[in-house]
Amino acid sequence: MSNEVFEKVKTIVSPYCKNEDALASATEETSFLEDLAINSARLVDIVIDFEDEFDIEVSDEEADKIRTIGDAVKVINSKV
Amino acid sequence: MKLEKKQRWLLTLQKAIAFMCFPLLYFLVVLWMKYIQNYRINDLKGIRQQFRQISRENPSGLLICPNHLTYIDSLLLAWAFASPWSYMAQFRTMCWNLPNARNVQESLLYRIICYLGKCILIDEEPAKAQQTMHKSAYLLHHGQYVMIFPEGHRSTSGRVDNENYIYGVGKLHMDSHLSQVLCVYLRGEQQQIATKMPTKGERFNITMKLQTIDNEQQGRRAMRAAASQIITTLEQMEASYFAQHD
Repeated sequence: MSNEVFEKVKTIVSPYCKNEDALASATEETSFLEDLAINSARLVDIVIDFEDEFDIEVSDEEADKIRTIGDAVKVINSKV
Repeated sequence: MKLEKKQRWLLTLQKAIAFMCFPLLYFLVVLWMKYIQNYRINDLKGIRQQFRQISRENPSGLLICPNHLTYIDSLLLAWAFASPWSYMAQFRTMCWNLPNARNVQESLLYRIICYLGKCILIDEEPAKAQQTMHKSAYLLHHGQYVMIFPEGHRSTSGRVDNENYIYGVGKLHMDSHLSQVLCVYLRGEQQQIATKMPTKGERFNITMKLQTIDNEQQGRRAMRAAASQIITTLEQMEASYFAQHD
């Protein structure tokens, strides 16, 4: 499940990502802001996309803690 | 909107010191803009009348959202919106500004000018940025005017940036519980793309529109929708500007 979520997260992130190479070689430690060069407003869009794709609700506190792909996978896995 | 007592006290102190220094600061800034840079604002009288009318219609706070092309946009707008006498009579209409801390942190002089000019610096560290937004919402709740550039940066293309704008403005609007925001389009006649400073002798055009934000969504979706409506309004104002001036 975790791997499937990881791949879905990468797909969701793809349209917002300014560093395609970093996304192609992304690991759970890959940071949205620094490594993928995604700005904070787009990170809000990404969290909304997570909610729509996985039919979950992410609280502000949880969203604030999402810094890496691994953080996102962890939050999603805890809700699906 | 709750704010710690210490923070409230510090804001009150800043406002009091800014008020005492305001006549000198306004005089020096306008002297520099008008007589050294030779800037002019077209229909200054009409703009001030319109702003006065908007102030009368909004006895509570006002969130002001201009487009952003130069470092001195907020100074130009402060000059355009009201005379020094009007500001002295109603100091709450002299906007609080939210500049990026990174742009002023290295210079003590800039920090002092910002403090006296009713600025609250926005730090890039999320927790500190959130604190600034809390302060801004508190000020709006208490009848103050707050100016924030919804694009979050000067637009490199010279047009309203509808792709990389910030959602913080939407959050601030939601936290303010105000139904309207004042969208402002400011552009120098020779301004093509974003620059640090307008060219000497520049003539500026300013249009204002009170925009009601319709939002039936919740949470971060509402924040995004509000920010999006503000940017769309600025885009429409820009389209009107170019329709009139091309």
